[in-house]
Parts: sequence; structure tokens; C-alpha cells
Amino acid sequence: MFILSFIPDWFFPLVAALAITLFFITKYLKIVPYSSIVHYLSIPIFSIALFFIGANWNNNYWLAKVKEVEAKLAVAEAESAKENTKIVEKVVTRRELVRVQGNEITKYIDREVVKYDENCRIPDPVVDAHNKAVKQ
Amino acid sequence: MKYLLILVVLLTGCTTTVPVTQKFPEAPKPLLEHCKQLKLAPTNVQLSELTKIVVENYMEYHICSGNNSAWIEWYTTQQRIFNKER
Repeated sequence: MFILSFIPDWFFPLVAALAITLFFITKYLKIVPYSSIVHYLSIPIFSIALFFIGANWNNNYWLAKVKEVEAKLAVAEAESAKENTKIVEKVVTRRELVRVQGNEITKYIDREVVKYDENCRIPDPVVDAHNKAVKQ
Repeated sequence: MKYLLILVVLLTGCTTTVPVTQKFPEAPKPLLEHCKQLKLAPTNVQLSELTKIVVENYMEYHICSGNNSAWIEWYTTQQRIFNKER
């Protein structure tokens, strides 16, 4: 409840205690002026105070739950970021490995496959088949 | 005016906010890249050139396959973290 955020926790128990005290003082001791009015007023005041004690307890209970969930989320976000870093490292390493191996194969082609360039003419259907597969 | 004030005071009890929001987890930037287009071979290509093009296309495949595996790992990890914290 929004209104409870402005009122300290001790306020409503104090009001309830005062209402009970006034109830018994005005019942047995007639020293307070307008004692009958105060006596009957103390009952609704006590009821309202009791309601707000409950509301305040409920409010505090849910605020504690919210803090608990926020703490859990912070832990989850930190763990998620840590896992993301691991995944990025893995991806970058794999890409680097693929490039290094690719460069090695290219060097091999330049060294060994080039020897057959003169004698081996690539027929056009081979190129067509390759390009068709690429375009799929 | 009196009734309006009473209404405002009563309605303050109804203001319920949800202060906890869970953000969708950020995916790593390298995973958000699309796979590159495969290279076409020109006509009258030499054997070595064609082999190089094929190798480059295979390289792209391996990079893309790595990304796919990383997406699967990312999803599984995030799901585990999310389910653990509920």
C-alpha cells in the first residue's frame, strides 16, 4: 500500500495500544472528560489500527519477497553474462581455427593442386552444378 | 471536493506496482551475425581456383555451424539459469 510507505512501522501498534488503554481507563476510571465518547471511539480506532498493522505486515512481507527476487535476478544476470563470455570465447576460437586451417589448405592448393591446372580443364557442367548448389 | 479527497485517500490503497522486472538475456554479439553468402565459381575456372572456392565455402559452413552450435549452447545455458532462479 502506497500510504504505508510514509508511516513508520511502530505507529499503528502504538495507536492500537493507546486505544486499548483508553478503552479500559474510560471503562473503570472516569477521570477522562467525555469518557463515554472516548470509550466508544476507542473501539473503531483499535479496529482500524489492527487492520493497518496487518496491512503493514503484509506490505513488509511482499517487500522482503521483492528484495529476495531482485537478489536472485542479479545472481542470474551475472551468471548469464559469465556464460555469454565463455560462449563468445568458444566461437572466436573456433572461427580462428577454421581460418588457420583454411589458410593451410589454400597453401596446399597453391603448392600441389596448381600442378594440374594445365592438364585438367574444368568442364562447364561442373561449374554449373557447383553454382546451382551454392544458389539453393 | 470532500468526496473527491475521500476517494483519493481510499484509492491510494489500490496503487500496486510490480517493481521486479526480468530482462530478456542479451545474446552474444558474434552470434547475431548472419551466415555469409557462399561464393560462386566463374566460367573457365582453373582447377586450383575452383578448389579454393570450394574450400572457402566449406570454411563459411564451418563458421556458420559453429554459430549454430553456440546458439544451442546459449539457449540451453540461459534456460538452465532461468529455471534455477525461479
